Amino acid sequence: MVERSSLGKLLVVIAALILVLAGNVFAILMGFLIVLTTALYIDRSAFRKLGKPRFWLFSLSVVLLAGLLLGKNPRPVFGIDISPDGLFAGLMMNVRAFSLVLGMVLISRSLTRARFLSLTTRLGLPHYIPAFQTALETLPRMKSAFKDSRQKGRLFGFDNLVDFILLTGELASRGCGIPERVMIFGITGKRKAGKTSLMRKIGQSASVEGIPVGGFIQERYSNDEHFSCGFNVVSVANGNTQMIAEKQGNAPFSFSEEAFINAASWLRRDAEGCQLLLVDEMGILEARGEGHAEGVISTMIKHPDKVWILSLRKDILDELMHSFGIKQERIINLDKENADRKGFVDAVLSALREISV
Amino acid sequence: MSLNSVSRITTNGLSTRRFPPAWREAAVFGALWGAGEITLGAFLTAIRIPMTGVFMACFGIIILISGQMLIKRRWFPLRTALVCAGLRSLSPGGVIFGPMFAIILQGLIVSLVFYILHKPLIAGVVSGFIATITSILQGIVVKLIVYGATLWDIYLSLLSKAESILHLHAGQGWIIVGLFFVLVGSLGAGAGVFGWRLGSAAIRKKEILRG
Repeated sequence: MVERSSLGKLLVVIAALILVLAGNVFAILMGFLIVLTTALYIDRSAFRKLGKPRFWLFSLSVVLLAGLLLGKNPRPVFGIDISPDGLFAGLMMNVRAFSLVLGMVLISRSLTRARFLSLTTRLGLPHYIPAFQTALETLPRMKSAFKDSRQKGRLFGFDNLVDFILLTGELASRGCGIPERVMIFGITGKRKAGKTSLMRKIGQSASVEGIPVGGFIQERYSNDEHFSCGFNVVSVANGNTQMIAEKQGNAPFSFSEEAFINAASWLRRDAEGCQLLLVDEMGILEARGEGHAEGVISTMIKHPDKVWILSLRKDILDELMHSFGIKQERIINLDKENADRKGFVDAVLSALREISV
Repeated sequence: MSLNSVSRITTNGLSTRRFPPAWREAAVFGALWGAGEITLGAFLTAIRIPMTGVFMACFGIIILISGQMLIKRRWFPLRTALVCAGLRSLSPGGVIFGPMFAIILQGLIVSLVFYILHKPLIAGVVSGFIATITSILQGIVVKLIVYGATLWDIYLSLLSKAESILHLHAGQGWIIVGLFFVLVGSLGAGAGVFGWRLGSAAIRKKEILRG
């Protein structure tokens, strides 16, 4: 994070600040001398931060108030009772403040923006840097979103603010780059509600109409002999199968990185010739942009004129809808008694016919 | 897939991982907040408006509450605050710990309050109230760290002097201090209500546009 030479100086400053914080007069003076010498040696421009009139005004007030309000044995000075002990305490408070402010300026100067960003990765926030870069790219778009929301009226009122927040929200959900013309249908419902079966049925109906179908579905398997169970990912186009997740007993699932990569490559391959693409088991990982998300989003961006059916985990439906820009009217909830399966199949097939035309 | 396994897959650093939507949303709303911090915040500081921190906290609260209502993702305010804090380093002073810490603290407060209370209106009022009071308290705590505990004695002596000048009973000064904090907190609560109104109106309009 910091080069070795500057790290040494930084450690000296930190040690001096610890001395200052100890509170003892001798320690404060020692710390003050170290910080002062280090600042003179490393970065004299750090003193500029102490040039603020507000800082000096407050410091002066502290000395005077300490003399007036604190300490024993006050002596009259120009008719006002001032305690020398109090004045000394106020002076030491200022020495402490001077050392701490100067020390913190030295530390903050060694922590540049680049170092701050790399520090976030070390602290376990790997997505922070791309988010920061996206925010930087978004700043100019904010200006145009602000202008767009002002177009309707000359005065900027509450309605304009609502439009502005809506535009910002749209900007946030569009950020993944999925074009609006991509037709995405969603099937949701609890486990064993028949999501995969409905997906297969639509695939078969499309095939009967001569529409090529691609993508993948996931099949659950269990091996009683080894007390294990898991999921296979199966290519719709050629039936290729690969284990994608497995667990032993009560242990958590372990995932196959290779299977995610292969599933993404199947999607890219199928999108070249197929009009309908099926993606099974979109869950927590995908809502967080992991798992199949990259393969699905990149294929949607590259081939926007396709119809997609995604099987969506019900407990994180909102997040998945938001992440992939799926419209409410294109989702069927199989848990509902009156779920119109036939209507849903017809809607998908008519979307496919429109695309074919 | 258990959450446990999800976190494992994340720390393993799979190549299938990409920039998550949660961070993307935080980036956009963080940019909005950051733009306000860099421009409005710098302007208010430059013209020496008192309690700039409180006004900027109110601004942040409005964005966080309305954004949380639209995005509906847990810890969205904290992520947004982290992005905004990073953007704050773009201002001339570079990496300044004080404002960056204040922004992150606001995000954490709103996230925690939404996590506990769920209802946007109540959460907006409570988090706005706490966040603005915290921005004042932060200034006091920083001064106490910088000048030492003796500063507290000076504050207490000043308070008792003020009580005697105003002919108040001992301890009544604390009531006035409390009232001041309630007043500041009410500003934040008001910002929370405004954020809620903005968020509700945005959701209604979104639903109308959806048909």
